Amino acid sequence: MAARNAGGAARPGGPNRTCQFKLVLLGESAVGKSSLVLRFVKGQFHEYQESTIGAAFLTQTVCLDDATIKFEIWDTAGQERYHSLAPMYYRGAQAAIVVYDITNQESFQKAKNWVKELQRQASPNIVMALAGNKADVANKRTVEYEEANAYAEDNALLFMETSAKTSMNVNDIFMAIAKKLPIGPAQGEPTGTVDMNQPQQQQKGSCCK
Amino acid sequence: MATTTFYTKQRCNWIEGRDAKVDEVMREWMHKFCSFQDVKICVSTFNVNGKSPLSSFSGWFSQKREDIAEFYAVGLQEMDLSVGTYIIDNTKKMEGWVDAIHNSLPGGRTHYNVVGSMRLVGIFVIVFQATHSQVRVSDVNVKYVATGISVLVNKLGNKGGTAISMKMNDTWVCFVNAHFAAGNNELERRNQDFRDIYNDVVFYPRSQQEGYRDRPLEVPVMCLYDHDVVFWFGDLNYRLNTDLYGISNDDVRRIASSDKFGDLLQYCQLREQMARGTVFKDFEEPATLPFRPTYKYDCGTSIWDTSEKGRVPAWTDRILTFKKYPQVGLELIRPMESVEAITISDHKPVRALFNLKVKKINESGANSVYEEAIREADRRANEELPQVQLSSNEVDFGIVNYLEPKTRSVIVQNVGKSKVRFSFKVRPNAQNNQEICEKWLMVTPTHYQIPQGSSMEINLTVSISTDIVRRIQDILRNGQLQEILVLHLENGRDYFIPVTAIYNNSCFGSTLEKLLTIRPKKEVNLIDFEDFADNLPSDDCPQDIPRVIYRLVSALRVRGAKQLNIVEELDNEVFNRIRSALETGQPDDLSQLASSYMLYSALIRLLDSLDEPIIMEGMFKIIHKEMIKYRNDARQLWTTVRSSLPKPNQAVLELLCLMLREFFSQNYELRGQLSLWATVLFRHDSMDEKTHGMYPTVLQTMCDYAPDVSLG
Repeated sequence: MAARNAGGAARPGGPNRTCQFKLVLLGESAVGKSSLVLRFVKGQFHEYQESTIGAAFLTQTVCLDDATIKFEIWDTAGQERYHSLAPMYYRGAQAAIVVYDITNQESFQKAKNWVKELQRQASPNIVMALAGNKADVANKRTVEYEEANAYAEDNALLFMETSAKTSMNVNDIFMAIAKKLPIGPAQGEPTGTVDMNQPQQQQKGSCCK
Repeated sequence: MATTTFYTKQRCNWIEGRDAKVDEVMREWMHKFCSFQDVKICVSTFNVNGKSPLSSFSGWFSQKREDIAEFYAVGLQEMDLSVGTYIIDNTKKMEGWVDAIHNSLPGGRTHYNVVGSMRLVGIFVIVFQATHSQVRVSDVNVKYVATGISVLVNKLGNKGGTAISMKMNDTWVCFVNAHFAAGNNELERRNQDFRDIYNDVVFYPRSQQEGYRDRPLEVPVMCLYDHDVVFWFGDLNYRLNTDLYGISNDDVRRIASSDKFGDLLQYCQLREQMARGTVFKDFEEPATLPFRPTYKYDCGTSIWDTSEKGRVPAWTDRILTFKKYPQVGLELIRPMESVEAITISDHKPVRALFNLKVKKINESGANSVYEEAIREADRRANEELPQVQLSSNEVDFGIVNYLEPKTRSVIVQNVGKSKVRFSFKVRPNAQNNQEICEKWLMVTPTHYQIPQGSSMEINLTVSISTDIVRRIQDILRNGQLQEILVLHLENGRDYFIPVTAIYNNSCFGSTLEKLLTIRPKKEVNLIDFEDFADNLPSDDCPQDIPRVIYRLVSALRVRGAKQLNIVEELDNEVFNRIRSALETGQPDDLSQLASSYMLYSALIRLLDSLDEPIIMEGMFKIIHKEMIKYRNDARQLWTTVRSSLPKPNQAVLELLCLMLREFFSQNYELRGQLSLWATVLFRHDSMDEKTHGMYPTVLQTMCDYAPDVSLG
């Protein structure tokens, strides 16, 4: 009997859950937001990535030991003139990657502003990561690793220096976010995740596509 | 300890139904992690007309070696017609029939075990498995659905369905035996029976039914369409529509008895309903039925019904199949047939032999391809995202003028792999009532669907109306009209389309103070304003009246009221000419430029576009109230004007009253224009019925007595 009851604690659908999360990339233009996404989703890199005018959308799934995380990625335009549109994308997002260019001090300041805005306006449970991109050109660095790391620690952000070009830390930063996301909501605590364990016919009416 | 095997078994990470895209890939890749085994399944349906069984029926199932199946699924209808069976659960007859079927199986009963059975009154389904079969049968579950006659709230169960669900290795199979409503004219009820059974055949895991919570959703709740394969058979009671085609019963019987019986299938109600998609969507049946109608015979014979009712023959007894997806290996391996030699009933049994490729999932294999399948599913999903190309990323209207709409278009080309639906998103913090853009911009269409490979034009129009021009200073950003449209593709990305326009600062939509500054000054820089300065007219325009207003009024007075035809049509082109003349100062004399009515309209528009009305309300909102109070007292009215309004407002008002006084004296009819002028000068709330009619009176009094007369 004990053996039978032991199984009773199992979550519906067993340990391997599938959850969907909205992730948004923010940061100054030309710091490499689209390149990070392209590297993560398609494993590609374009030296001359077109400027994003709008908000590009892609999905990518990552597998953790006990869950499958499906990211719905919104890659936003970085130009200042589109700043006022950003809330459309970070609202309702469960994760955000704020990107700066390690060779561009100003982009780091902008990143800090984004972090501040997210802390103020985004969901309080949002998982935030700071990515210092273009780590492949560290010889032209103007933002010190220690400086950014200290800032990230102060603000409880995940932090990595990344390179979309060499793919350094690209998967890692998404995986790190995935691991921090709330999988399996505690009772009575809605997190905005979508439990995809239920057969899809029964999902109508939920926020799952 | 037998129960522990379940927990020690390696788990498969892939659970169907979570993600349609991943399922699709996994199904395509099934050969990578599944082994398949050919399993013969024989299905038979028989309406036994309430008859007691013989001990066995030879010939019901083919005894040929190559036709012997591993599974036999049999559905009976009208197994028990006795009245008592509706009230008391009498299993005696059922036991007799189970024995009869068991005994009739090839090789005899010892070679088969019962997997499961289910009975609803006379609707009975049973599945046997050959003892030598290697297929692992699990999760057997049963269900019945009663339709037909209701007694109080319960269905009696004279019609309905019984079903058995099971897993053969890792393939989910369901057998549904149904008896639909009888009668030629009960087509709709038969369709309803189908829908009721289809929707209500849902299998809850036994553990849940029995209150065990030890393996909650390990076995999922299974709807009919969740099964890999469904066999649906029974007396579906669909008849022939031959009467609609004027084919007599005798003719039908003649054809049904001949080699041409197949010609009758085109009149089958079931075929017709399936073609219309009303029932048995995604179910299949062989294109032809190579056996005579199975209904209705005189019992004990193969002679068409000779009773008084003389039923028209029909294929009431059917076997249909459903496959969850195309890759499911299910095949009918012998022609479907009826067993004419069995004459006990007024129906004949029908049987069919299928081969099902039953799959066995290799869990570790499945897990190793699962992650790759997820990546493949992502790749496909991203590739299928809607994609468009915009003819321009930005729309610049250049200079726009008051009341001169300008249109630009953006061409959206669908370059993706499917049709695209687009719409415009409302921006966050939109202060424009959930509109997709500010009022000066119009977008058509705001949502549409573009077929793959096609393109369409979205028109953007900037239009500076009076409403907008009055608050143009609040709208301008960095001296420009600016907006960003957010074009959203359904299930896809967003595009930002910045729209800019430079508003041509005009005498329209200005303020009296500003208009006063537009006047020729001798001291202006002669190099910049050379032309303007050269043509300076001798200026008799009073200091407190804007020159543009003065010029319009002067031209109107020169032309006189006789030439003013207020039913003339407005011509925007002429209006733009007047506006341009007002702004450039050329020609200075407007009297020859356009008709009186166009000049008159331009004057009204000019006053109407000012940020504030000429007779403004003032800080304490008492001016209008006072004027209403003294509406018949010219002296008081002009006193109020002189004491409450700024100098330029007074001067303009006096000039306008002078002009109107002249007009009214020249053409009495023009007094009809008073309420229009009242609206322009006061901009009062036209919805306020109490005061609305009083403003024209105020104006009339003021026109009747010039201030120098009334104030002495």
